[in-house]
Amino acid sequence: MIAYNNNPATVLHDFLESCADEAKQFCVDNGIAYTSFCPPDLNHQNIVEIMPDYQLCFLAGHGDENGIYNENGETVVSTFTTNYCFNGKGFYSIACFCAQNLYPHLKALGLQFFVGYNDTFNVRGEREPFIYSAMAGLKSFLSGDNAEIAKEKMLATYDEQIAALDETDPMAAVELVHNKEALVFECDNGTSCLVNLK
Amino acid sequence: MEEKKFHIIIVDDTMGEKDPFVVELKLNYQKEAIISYFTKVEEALTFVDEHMSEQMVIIMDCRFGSVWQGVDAVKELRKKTSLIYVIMMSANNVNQLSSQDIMSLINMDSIFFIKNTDIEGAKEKIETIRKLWNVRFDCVLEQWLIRHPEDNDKEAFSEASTGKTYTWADILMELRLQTPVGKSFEHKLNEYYIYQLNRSKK
Repeated sequence: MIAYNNNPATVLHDFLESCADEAKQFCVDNGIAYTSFCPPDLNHQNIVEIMPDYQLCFLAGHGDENGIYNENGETVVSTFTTNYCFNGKGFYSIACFCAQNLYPHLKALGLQFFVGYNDTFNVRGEREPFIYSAMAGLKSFLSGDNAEIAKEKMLATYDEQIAALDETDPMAAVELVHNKEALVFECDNGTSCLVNLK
Repeated sequence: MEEKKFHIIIVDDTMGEKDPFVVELKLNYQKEAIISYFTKVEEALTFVDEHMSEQMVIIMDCRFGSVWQGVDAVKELRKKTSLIYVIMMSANNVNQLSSQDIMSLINMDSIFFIKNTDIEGAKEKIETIRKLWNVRFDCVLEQWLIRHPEDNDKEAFSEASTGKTYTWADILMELRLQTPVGKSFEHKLNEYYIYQLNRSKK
């Protein structure tokens, strides 16, 4: 399930949409069925209805400690919504702060693995290094790697992209280091979990 | 660009500008500092507000005849910034302050304490503060911009959420004012230094 906020009035909507496009492409490349939601259909109800049929929720939008929101500032997934549908599932997010409270909340409801950020997620200059880094874990997961390998590949991608930015845009490298340090990549069963997505 | 002077702000309602304490500090720091004397806390705070982006040491009496007490003024100052160092001074022993005032002072950042006739103590504390400035990020950046004035107007940072760009001179101001942008910038840059130093050892 791929959800994202590409509303033109939303700051960084192009970045959020590009991440979702990557996620869709990974699914296509690996023969994995997906459903996607974007404005005006990006809301909690749509996600709750469809999540029982899917193993993984990918969500790219603006967030805070408690949740992730749509173009109208309405909750898509938060600590204040009913989230039993995430029991046994995975949640891969690109949003500021949501690892702080939303992750423990979903974990308590039986979430199997979580990827998100416990501080701001920043973007500067060229989008590609930020997209590659943020999407590397998902790409690895969808190609069949377990969480341990997906996490390693994601961190390695961050390092590669930071090294490349050091040469071209050091201040963007500063932002990417920040994103890497804010990354929370956790799996309920240690790092050995492998989600059957097909 | 010349070496920038720092401020020494003396706030006391009884001492007077001719007091040896004030005169000695003026003589001792005439090359490096701008020394201002205020008898009213309110005026001193206004001055501080107007110079918040500059390096300052405030030497503040604990007791005033007005409604404002020194401790109250420092509490007010700490709502705005924790970067300005304050040397509290008193004619009385510390144990003559109310326990509430003592607790407030201990719980505040960057506070020193001297007797109000202790000129050598004041100088010693000012030197300690100047050494602390040497290692603080905002002060290192200020020194850098003095040595490399061509960097002042270069873009240092742009805020993704608003698109607003900040030059290095802007960032110095944001750091001194302890704004969210300034705090976040310093945090990210420190993270980056640590990351790079660790990576270079691999």
